[in-house]
Amino acid sequence: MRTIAIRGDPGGRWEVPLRLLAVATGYYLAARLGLALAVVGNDVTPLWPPTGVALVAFLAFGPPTWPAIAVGAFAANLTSSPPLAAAGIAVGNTLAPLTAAYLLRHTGLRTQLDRVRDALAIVFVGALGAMVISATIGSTTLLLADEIERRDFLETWSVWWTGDAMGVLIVAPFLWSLRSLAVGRRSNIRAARVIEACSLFALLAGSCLVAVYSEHEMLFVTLPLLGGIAWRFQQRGAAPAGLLVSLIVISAAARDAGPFEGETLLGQMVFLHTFNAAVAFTSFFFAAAVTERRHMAERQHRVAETLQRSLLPERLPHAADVALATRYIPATSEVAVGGDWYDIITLSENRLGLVIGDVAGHGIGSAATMGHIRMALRAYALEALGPAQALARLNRVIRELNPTAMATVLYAHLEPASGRVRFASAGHLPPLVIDTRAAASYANGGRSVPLGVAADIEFQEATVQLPAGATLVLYTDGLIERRTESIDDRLELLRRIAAAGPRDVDELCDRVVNTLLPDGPSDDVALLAVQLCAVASAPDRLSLRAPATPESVPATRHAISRWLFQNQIDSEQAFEVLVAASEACANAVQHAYGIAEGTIEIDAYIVGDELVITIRDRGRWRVPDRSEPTYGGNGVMIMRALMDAVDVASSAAGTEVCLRRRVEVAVPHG
Amino acid sequence: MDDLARVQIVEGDDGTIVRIAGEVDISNVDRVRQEIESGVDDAVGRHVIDLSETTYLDSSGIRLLFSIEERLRARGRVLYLFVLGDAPIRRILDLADLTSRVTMLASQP
Repeated sequence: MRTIAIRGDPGGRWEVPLRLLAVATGYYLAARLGLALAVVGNDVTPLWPPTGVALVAFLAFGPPTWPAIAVGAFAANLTSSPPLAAAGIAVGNTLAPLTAAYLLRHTGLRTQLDRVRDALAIVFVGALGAMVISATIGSTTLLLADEIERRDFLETWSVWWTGDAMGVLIVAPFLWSLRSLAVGRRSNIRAARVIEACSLFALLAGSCLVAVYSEHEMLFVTLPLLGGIAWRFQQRGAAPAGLLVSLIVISAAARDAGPFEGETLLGQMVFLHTFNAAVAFTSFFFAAAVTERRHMAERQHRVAETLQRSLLPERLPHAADVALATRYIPATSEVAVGGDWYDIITLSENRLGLVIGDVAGHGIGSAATMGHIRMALRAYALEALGPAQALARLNRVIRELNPTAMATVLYAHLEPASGRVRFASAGHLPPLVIDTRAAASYANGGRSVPLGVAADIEFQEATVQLPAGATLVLYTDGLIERRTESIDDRLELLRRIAAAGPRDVDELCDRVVNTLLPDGPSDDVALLAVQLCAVASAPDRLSLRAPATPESVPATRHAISRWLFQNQIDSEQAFEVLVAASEACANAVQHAYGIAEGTIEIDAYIVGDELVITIRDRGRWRVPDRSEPTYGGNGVMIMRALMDAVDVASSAAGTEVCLRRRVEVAVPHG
Repeated sequence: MDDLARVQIVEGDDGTIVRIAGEVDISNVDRVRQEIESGVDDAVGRHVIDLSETTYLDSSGIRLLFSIEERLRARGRVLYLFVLGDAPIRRILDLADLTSRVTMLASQP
């Protein structure tokens, strides 16, 4: 990513030269550090850090970085070798990391070293494999330049090889871990983690120093600490820890301290290399294995959660007259993804299907079962089945799908215009109704056993009349269940919070979740809130004009229905007024006009406890008198039966039907 | 079919069930009639019209039910109706005397 950004920067004319200069300088300084660690004189150094620098540079910036490495290597070797020999050595010092970078790129190395295969690749391909090149070219150059004797060739070669390999193993991961620290700094790092890291490093440095300057062979005590750091912080902790230990041990060897005292050069080198290899291997493999396991657990959780989310509706349907809010909150623990879901289905222009459900169990299997039964219920809903009927079909589906599966589901039909809710609950928790006066209550009833527990279940239905502006809340048991509290107490808590909560459905959902589950849910939670249009002040008069065509009758009826609802007329009486008024409209449409276009006018108002509604047209039609047979569904007969008074005045100007009925204002639910 | 009403015809072993969901009025009664007749005309066995999902039914809808009942009666068949006990339209069916002329089912088919 970073390389692309640099290459693509049109204004970065100095980018490339500056980068080459920086790499060359870095290489040279790393070489000086390496020479400072030389065990004997300037010739034998057990760790050659610039090789790690070169590998990191080649992997980050690509092969064109070679001049920087070559120049840096030549400059570094000039301090100990004649120019021609230094040039020969520089060729080897450049070719080896270049080859290592090429091979590692082809093995698909991830520089986070978070997989065991990355650890294997860097040890065997990057370090031990590629560094044969620099060791061979370097030793041969020294031999040809008469810098070493023929009998010393093998020893020189092996020291060279291991020094370069250790440079790769110790320095490159350290440089990569610096980058991950820089990334980590931007995200949140908790103070406890910082304190833990500092303590572990201090302990490691302290025990290592004590060990190397002790008279006894104690260096092994650093290994469990290295393992602990790798386990807790993975590569970003393991790499600096490895470098720290190696530097302390090498500097001790350079001073003939502790375990190195009195050892021959060969003995010191063997000890150093085996110890450094043990350090590198311990930190690499432990860190990679821990990271790999953690990634696997995270991936499983992510797969289940992604599956779960993809099975929930992506967008809520646009529904007139209602405000909708939904939440799905996965469990906070790593494995507990469940089968909770919600759904909202537009059944017709003035009816919504609302679903909330919970498939028993956790994990990908439950989420998948949820996906199946959600779709099945959707299909039955769109086939216009009633709540109980749809649940009966769904029970067959779930039993056929998986005989051991069990689910609780609540399916409701809501008519936003009238506030009528008809629902059936298969073992689900009761819906909560909150009215505009901050009173909340549960709508019990309509309950039967969960889906899947028996082949033939008698599903019950119940109806609730929501007052204008009321909110209906459906939820799953993850919101309610807490090990330490009874369900009744929790339901009461939800009722009180919802009653006192904000009116806005989105804010209400947040309030409910934050208050009931302050530490996040231990089981997953689905939540669905739907609110009917609030009516601040209901219009007490209704005045409508509509074309006198059959097609306009439904819209006119819906407008009257909404007005009756907004005035909180008792729902049964409102229905009767609606039927009578619609019949009058239908009469006007049918009889008042011929082919010519006309208009009907509707006016309605409430005086005291009487509702008056007049339907006027410009045509003339005859009202059958009471002695005529009513058999066959006569509109006027229906009007007369439902209203207290039906007056029809017909004149040359048109016909006016006046309907009157005593009405009661509905007592809001709850 | 318009959004106002949806007609579903289920043919089973023991007859035909017509489910009418939504609202039936003067604006869509002819379409509803066509849909029902296409399924009911040549069907054998018991004929049931399920009105449990019917939220509105005006006098033209009542007349439609009467005419279907008459057609079936002429062929020696019987029409059964199902409507929920607490449904608002039940009142209209009672008023038009349809509930005494047609056999009412006690439970949903």
